[in-house]
Amino acid sequence: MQDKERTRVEPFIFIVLLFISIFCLIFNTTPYVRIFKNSVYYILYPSVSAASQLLDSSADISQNIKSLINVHQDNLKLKEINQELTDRLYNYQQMSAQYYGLIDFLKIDSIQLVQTVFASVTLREPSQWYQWIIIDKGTHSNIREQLPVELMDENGTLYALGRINEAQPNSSKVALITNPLSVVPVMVKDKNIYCLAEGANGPLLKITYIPMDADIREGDLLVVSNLSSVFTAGTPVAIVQSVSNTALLDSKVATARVLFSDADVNRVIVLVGREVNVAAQDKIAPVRPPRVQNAEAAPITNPQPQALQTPAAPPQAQARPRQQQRRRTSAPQSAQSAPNVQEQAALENANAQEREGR
Amino acid sequence: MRKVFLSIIFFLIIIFIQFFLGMYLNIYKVFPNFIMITILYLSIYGGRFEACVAGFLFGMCWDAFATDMFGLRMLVLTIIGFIMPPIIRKLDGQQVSVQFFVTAISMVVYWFLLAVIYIAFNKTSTTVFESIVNLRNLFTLIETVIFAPFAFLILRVLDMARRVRR
Repeated sequence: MQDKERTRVEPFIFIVLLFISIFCLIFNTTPYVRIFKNSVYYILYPSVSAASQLLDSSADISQNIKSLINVHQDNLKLKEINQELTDRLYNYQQMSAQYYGLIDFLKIDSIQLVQTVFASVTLREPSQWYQWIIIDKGTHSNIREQLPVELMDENGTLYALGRINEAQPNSSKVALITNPLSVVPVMVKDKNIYCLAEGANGPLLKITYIPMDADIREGDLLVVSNLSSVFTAGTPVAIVQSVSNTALLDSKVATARVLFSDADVNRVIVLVGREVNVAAQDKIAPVRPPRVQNAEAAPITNPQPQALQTPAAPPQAQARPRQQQRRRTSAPQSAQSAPNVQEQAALENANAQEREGR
Repeated sequence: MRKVFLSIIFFLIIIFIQFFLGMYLNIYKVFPNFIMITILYLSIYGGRFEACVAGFLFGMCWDAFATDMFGLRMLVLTIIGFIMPPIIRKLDGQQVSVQFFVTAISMVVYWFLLAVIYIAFNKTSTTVFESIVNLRNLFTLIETVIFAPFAFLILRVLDMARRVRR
């Protein structure tokens, strides 16, 4: 019985073996057949040279297998990361829901999220680059006046450049912090010394209202203080270059070099606030850029929002900007702390004066 | 299981004799074709299936050691393993004279098929003719033919001994 079955199967076995043999014969130069041959050789005669021959012939295939394994491992890692990010997103959504729930419950008015808009500088006068520049983004990109304009260094850190002075549909005029009409409330990093950085028509800023007993030294980094409503607190502004010990009222003066040069001002970042809700900023820590105007652009007649914005600021630091604002009401530069229309007019006047002087 | 294990051992012994002892037991670099003898032995005392599969496996190992086309001997020995058993059964393969004859025929068929495949795969006929029809192959044929009945006898005795022990 078994013999009969075997006799019946024999031709099929023969055809299969014949087919395999012919296949190997026809494709004997292909890498797969070569690998098969070298594998048989290695099984029969396992030596270093045979193994090397086997590896050589299977280089492409082993490379493919390696890449497959690598892709698989990467995929596993990415799945883990994806899972982690999904968990975080879920947590974020939970926190966000709680947050907005609390905002509704407490009847808090506003919060702003920030959207970055990258813009290219289309106009920069070589002789007056420290006054203003024109960028190629405008109101069509949600850019409006009084928004902060910053630069990014190689490490990805943003530092202050200026603010939007005038917004057109497809272009905007940026007044730089080096503009003589610009004043930025700053503080010495890690020292809790509050002062003001005024533009000085050049790469240096004039640092005023430094307390006489303040330990400010050359090389100290000046960052935007929490009094600023345009820039985010902590944004780097300049590095102190020299400190003058000459007393001016009860304070001293220093000069600081800005963190950018004219060559750096090519691509800028405008931080556009996206309004989510209407808020009172004295209760919620503002996310950049805060809406309430302060020393840079607050109306002269209404210094109140500054106090609202910075309840924790030292009284001395709060008082000085106000004093400065009061002093500037008589000077053309006082328009710096005026509303936008006044400020623009002041800037134009200053330019006209400058042209006449020339 | 035991049969499979013994078959593998037998297979490896034949491979060892053919490819590793050949360099020590040759006479003027001529050595009988043990693989062909084994296939013929399986054709006589086994069956078509055994001869065919043995031809395929031995041919594969031979091709692995050879530097020419892979699959050449695999194909030829499989064909010999398939066509020889019925012929041997018709001629009463247990007679020594038949064994001489069948061995000689098998060797000639083997070289003939080698030549055909070589030519089919664009090898020049002159080179094929020279590589196949030469004095060394003639001596190999004579040695194999002379040695075949003795080898069949030894293998038969070993097979009988294995069966008796079982």
